[in-house]
Amino acid sequence: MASMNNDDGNEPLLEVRDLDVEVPSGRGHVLAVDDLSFAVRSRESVGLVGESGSGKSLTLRAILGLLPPRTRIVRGQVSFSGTDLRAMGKREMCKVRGRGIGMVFQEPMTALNPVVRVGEQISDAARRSLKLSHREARSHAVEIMKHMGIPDAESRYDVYPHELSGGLRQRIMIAAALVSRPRLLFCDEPTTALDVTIQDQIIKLLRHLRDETAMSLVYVTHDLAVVTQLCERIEVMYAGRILESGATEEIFQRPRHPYTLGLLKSVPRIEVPQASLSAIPGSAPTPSSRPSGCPFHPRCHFGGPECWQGAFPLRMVQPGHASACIHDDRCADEATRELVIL
Amino acid sequence: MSTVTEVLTSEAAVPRRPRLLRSRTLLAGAALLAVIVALAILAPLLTRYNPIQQDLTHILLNPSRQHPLGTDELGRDVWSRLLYGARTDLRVAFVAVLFPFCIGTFVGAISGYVEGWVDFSIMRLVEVVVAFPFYVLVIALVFAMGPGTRSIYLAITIVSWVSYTRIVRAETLVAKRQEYVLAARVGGLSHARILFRHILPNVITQCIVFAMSDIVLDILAIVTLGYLGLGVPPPTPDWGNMIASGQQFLTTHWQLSTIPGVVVVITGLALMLVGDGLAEVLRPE
Repeated sequence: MASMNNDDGNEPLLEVRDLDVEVPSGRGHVLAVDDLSFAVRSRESVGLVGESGSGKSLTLRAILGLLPPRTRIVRGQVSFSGTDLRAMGKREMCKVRGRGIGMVFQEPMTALNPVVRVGEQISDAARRSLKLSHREARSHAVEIMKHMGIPDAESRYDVYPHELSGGLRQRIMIAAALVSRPRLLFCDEPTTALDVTIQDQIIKLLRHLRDETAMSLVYVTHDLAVVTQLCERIEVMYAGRILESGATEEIFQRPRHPYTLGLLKSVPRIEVPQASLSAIPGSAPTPSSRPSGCPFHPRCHFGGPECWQGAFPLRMVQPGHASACIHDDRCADEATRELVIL
Repeated sequence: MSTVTEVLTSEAAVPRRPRLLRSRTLLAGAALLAVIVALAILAPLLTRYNPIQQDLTHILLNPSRQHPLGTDELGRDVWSRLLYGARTDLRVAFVAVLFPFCIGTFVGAISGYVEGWVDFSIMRLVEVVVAFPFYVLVIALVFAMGPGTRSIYLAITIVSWVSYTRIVRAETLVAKRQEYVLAARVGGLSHARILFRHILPNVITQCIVFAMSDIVLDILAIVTLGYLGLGVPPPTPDWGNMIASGQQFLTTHWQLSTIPGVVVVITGLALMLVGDGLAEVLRPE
């Protein structure tokens, strides 16, 4: 694919535009991803942040064309290095997966096949996408395993997933995702199932790999702390939409959406004495019970009746910083007053 | 918690007992089965009589030094017929399981993985076969094709592939929704590779376990067919026709029918133990 080698720094590697994804609900369908647009440039890491059920993972699966049954894309464009993924045939799509886009999953125990040796799960993808022989794929896989910081890689090639610890399993997962040298890596909360020390190791590993291989990263998480360590840009997702988008530092210092502000205020800070953590009242709406108007308005303390109706598209509030809130100024003011800068 | 490096190295592959040796049930079953198979294989060394050699001057003898289990109504040595019968019945039963196992597994895997109309049609066909009682269909098929081992293979295959198909289909339906399948697809693997390399090893264990009890069922079917005169044609020794022909002497020579019957039970027990043991050992961790 000629267009695959388009490495212009300004041209987005992945571009999602006006994406609507429907999921089955009762007898009909509801929109779980609603008018979603974002882009990832070459060598850029983007954090997709949001609560569970906000449609983060679904977005990734929609991009890869691997939606669960009865779930479908109703509208929108997905282009990867200039090619339209939605118009692509199954065969070509198989090439994009693995070689173009790799993915690391949340739960390494379920994302690794319990009855296949871990090494083989790594080399399997390499054999196909890099056209390697059995032996070449094995040594390539062992090489990658070593690179992932797996001690004793040669002998661990032949073990089964249950014989490894959570951290090692996640390293195996990352190895399997990286073995075909993808240009873009999707990480779907890869550290959520791990304990904190291991979490830290995995994040360091990912950061190291990102810097070294020049691949782009889309990191899905609900953990804001992880995002600061890994991502240059953040897309804040809520109820299937992006509410705020901008550079990590900018968003952490002056969030322009009350939802982001609420998230930031609910992060415990060790250096600030706090009587109690502030939390966002209420809970995230399910796809079938989304409010009209701004999806966040029932939980927002800025808004009034003006937020109950109408569309709230993302709009630029500053160069490189977009928000879907019409009260973005008030939000930014409150942020400057109340947020202790990280 | 110790430092990371320590944790990582302490985990280095510790040699463990091979998985197959961890189940006592499996060991007991395998040992019993091994004895039976060994007896069948070593039959020529364990008896000096030809199992089909009639000796009408020595009919219906009671057990003695010459004939450890006596002779039957045609003067044939019962011990030697029992050993050679094991050869026939075990061979027929194993082969009769092999075909439905392979066909049923393949069809079931495709059915569960592809779903849609393929699955629908296959399942309706399965239901048609299942609607008939096992013995009725087997007996009818063997009767139509004429007695003999080939008819037995065919009849059992036609009837029992459905069990494997059902097991594998159900398991495949579950397995294909696992995250590792999604991970394999993200890796760009083909459907065939995913189905046969990643899903099948996860679902085949149920089939292997079932196959063990299926062998028991097939031995019973072969014995039953033999008893009805539809099995392995005489004079080839077979436990079924031994039981059948011994029946008329039950009041005077009970051992003629009872001993092959007990042997069938023991063989069944051995296979069941192996099946249960395998279920224990092969369960994915």
